[in-house]
Amino acid sequence: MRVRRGTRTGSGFTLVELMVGLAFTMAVSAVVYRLLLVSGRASRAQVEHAALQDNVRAGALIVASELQELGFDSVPALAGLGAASAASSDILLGQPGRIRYRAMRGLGFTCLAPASAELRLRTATYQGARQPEGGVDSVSLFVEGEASVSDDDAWIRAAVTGMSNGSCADGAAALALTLAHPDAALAGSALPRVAVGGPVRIFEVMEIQYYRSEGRSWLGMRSVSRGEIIQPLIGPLADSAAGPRGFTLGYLNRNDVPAATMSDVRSVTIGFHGVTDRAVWSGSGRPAVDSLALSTRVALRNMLRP
Amino acid sequence: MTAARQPAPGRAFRRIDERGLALAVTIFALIILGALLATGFRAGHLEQRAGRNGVYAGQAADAAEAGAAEVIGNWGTYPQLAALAVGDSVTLPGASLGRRTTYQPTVFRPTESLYLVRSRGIRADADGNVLAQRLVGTLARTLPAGVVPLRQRSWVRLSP
Repeated sequence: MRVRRGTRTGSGFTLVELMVGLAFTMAVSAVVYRLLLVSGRASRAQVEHAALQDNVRAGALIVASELQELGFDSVPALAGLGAASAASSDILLGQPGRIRYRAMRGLGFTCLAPASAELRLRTATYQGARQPEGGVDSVSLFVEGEASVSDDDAWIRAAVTGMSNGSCADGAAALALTLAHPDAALAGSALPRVAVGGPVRIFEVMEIQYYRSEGRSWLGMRSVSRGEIIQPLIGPLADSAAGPRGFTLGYLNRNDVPAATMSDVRSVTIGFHGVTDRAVWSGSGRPAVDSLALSTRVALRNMLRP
Repeated sequence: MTAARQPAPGRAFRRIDERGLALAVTIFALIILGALLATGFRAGHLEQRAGRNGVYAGQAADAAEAGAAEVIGNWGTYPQLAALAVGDSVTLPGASLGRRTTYQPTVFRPTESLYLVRSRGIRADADGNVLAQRLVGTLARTLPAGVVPLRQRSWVRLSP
């Protein structure tokens, strides 16, 4: 086969064709790259915003759900159980970034006349997220006064030191709780008035706290009764050192002004200021950490009645 | 070998040795764009669903509250409650609050003078499938004037 030099009809491309093709390819690639870059940023920003909204919303739901059942105990003067006690709130410590409280974990009903150191709850009617635990939980027992009035009703507290399986007077299964009473005199006068079948609430002391770890701010929760260390619940939140607080609690009384004591608290305002996990591109043309603020308010259901 | 380079009869000459990258690059870009869009849509969809679930849960909780309040407020209209034996329960007629939200109350009598009014609020879809439900309770006691919630710690949350 003879090769003819200088012909333009052979296979392959000329230099000009190659350069035009290369330039066109580069232009198309640049446009596609730019498009991918913008799309990637938009996609990442959307995912970050979704996570941010989810984060803040979940925090509002969890905290409101935890706090809405809070209440107080008091022994009224009419109760005839010795000296009347001042109202003791379930909020043990209330600060803007921290709340320690008695969280209800179950509701049971006695099935045997309570002894000074033992209480039996009918298993079939017990309702709660879990069973009572010795050394962790405490109980509130309902003490009924005169049948014709409700002003002399009271709840008295005791610590649960042990839990085992037992039986009721009718032979049905029961949860047998061993108790330690902080006020022996009160227990001595109150226990005979705890009706068989009366309600018993189970509590665990919990704490919700806004804290800083590894250079970022979080909302965490821990069981004080169990001696746990704080565990992150939601985050990251805005860092109070750099700007707005990421989590703020407000304690309001019945007149919607800050309460003087925790026993006066009727509602709690909950404010969140969440931030994205990383900087995202927005309309400003520069990547920045975006934020979202959400506030809610929860009425403490068991503090509404005077 | 040269026959393949001849144009077919009746057709214009067409080069068959084109090796452009435009089609491949375009298809690749479309795939990447599609994946990014799908990720964005999925994130948005999950966010929307989470928000809707929150609304449903709120509606179910409100219905449950309404059920408990209705039973205590209209105690006299349920003669079976006074006749309820200690340790027994009775289920009362439920009601619809519209928008596929209903409540179903049950009353338990633990002692002669105490009642636990349980109320389950349900938010369902058009086919009756339960989207969210909440169970709350109110401890109430009898007085000469009627049945009222306890003065302290009457409200009970019975479901998460």
